[in-house]
Amino acid sequence: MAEKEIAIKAQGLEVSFLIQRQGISSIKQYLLSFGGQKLFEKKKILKGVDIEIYKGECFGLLGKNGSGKSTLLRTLAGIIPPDKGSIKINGRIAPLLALGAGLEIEMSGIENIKLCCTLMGMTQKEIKASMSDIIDFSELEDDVNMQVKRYSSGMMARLAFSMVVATSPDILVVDEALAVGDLGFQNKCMAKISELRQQGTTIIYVSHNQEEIKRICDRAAWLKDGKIEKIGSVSEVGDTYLEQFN
Amino acid sequence: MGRIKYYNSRLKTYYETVYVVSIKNLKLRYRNSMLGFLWTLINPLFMLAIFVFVFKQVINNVDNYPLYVLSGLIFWNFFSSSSNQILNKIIESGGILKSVNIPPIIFPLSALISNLINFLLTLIPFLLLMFYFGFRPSLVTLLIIPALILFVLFTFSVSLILSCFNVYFRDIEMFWTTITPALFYATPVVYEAPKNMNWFMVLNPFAHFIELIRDILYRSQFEKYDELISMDIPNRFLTTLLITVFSTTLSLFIYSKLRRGFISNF
Repeated sequence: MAEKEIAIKAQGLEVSFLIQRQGISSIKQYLLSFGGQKLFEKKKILKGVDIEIYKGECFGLLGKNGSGKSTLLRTLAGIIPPDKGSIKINGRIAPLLALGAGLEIEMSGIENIKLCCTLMGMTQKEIKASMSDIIDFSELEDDVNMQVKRYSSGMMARLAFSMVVATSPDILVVDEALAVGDLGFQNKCMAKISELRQQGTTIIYVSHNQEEIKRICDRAAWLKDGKIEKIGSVSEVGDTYLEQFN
Repeated sequence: MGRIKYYNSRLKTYYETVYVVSIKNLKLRYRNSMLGFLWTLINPLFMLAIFVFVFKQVINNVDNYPLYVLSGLIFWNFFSSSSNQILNKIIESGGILKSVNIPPIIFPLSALISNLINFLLTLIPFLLLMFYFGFRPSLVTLLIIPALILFVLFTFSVSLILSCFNVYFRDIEMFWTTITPALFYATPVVYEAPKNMNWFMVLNPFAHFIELIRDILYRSQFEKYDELISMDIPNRFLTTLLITVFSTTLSLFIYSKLRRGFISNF
């Protein structure tokens, strides 16, 4: 293969969250110590992550719940500023596919497409142009005129995925949210993902299901307690990941 | 399907986002309600009725008391309803802010704009009502435009500070619901401020705004023009301008300091 172009390069990423100390006793302690004691404590989520993702590849991100997968993705997407480390992004990262984020349940599907696509950075002109594509892809047909609160979770997932794809990002992040749709739609999503890949879109696939990652990804990384435990070809990483359970 | 080019101008997108979210707020506000927009009128009218019928027994040294109350009440109402709504906006938008990289300030700002549009619409019937109570517009009335701009900026800065802190301590919401009525009575909205304001009123920024609005909409109807135009109104404009500059700077400073930690507290 020719020289690989880099889509994402992160070095020494450290991210921590401010965690509020709960309970009245802590506020009392805070006041009694005249501010010497902190009301918040820092919790380290990412402890020095180095990662390189090449353009046009499908990169799998494995890890247990709470290992820092979402935090890593949010940091890469520029949503969380890192404490330390550097990030280089080549292209535009799609909004993370958090299911139903930004959907306004009192409004209809169409109104939601307008709202969410605006929030994701599309201009009104672009939204108008891709409206019919979004509706077609979601297969919601006449239901787009219905209030989203009457949608099933699968229908919401369809709507969300269709909108994210419509922003035609350079780097697409696919979360497990996809599993919510029915089989037909899941297959359609997979077909769309491979179509996007052929057009040169980089895919980051996040899951704790290593089977799925093995099926579609080229390379993968295993994130454990905020550190990259292993990075490399998908079969290697998948196998090591499985071993921990045996 | 051709690939569309994005980010022709980030700022333009943000401007559009504020616009779209404001319209959404307006649409959602009265969805599923029968009287809809009328509620924005009913609330101050009801309060007006209370003060005219009840307080008139106590306060009888104010000329044209209904006009006096109304001119303060509609502006106070804008402040209290805006601040109480904006307060929650950053928390409410946590889901979006966790998944899309946009500045959080978009949400409080959109809430302010939708409230402002709502307010300007209610101003039409209220001006008619004030006319009925004997208000006669003149050139001085036009000063309400710069006064309103200052008042809106001040309202926004207070609300922005509250909504930033509310992300960290949800107590802010309870605190503000409790404190709003207290502020209402500490501000000369329904009673006349003493000629020499006591220390509490001097320190109460709302009092200065309400007094400015009063000068323009109420006192201009009775008092001698010259003194009002040459002394009172310019002085009050200066005070409120200073307050607004200070509060806006402070709010933007607090926002820029606190926004880093928003995401870990949603």
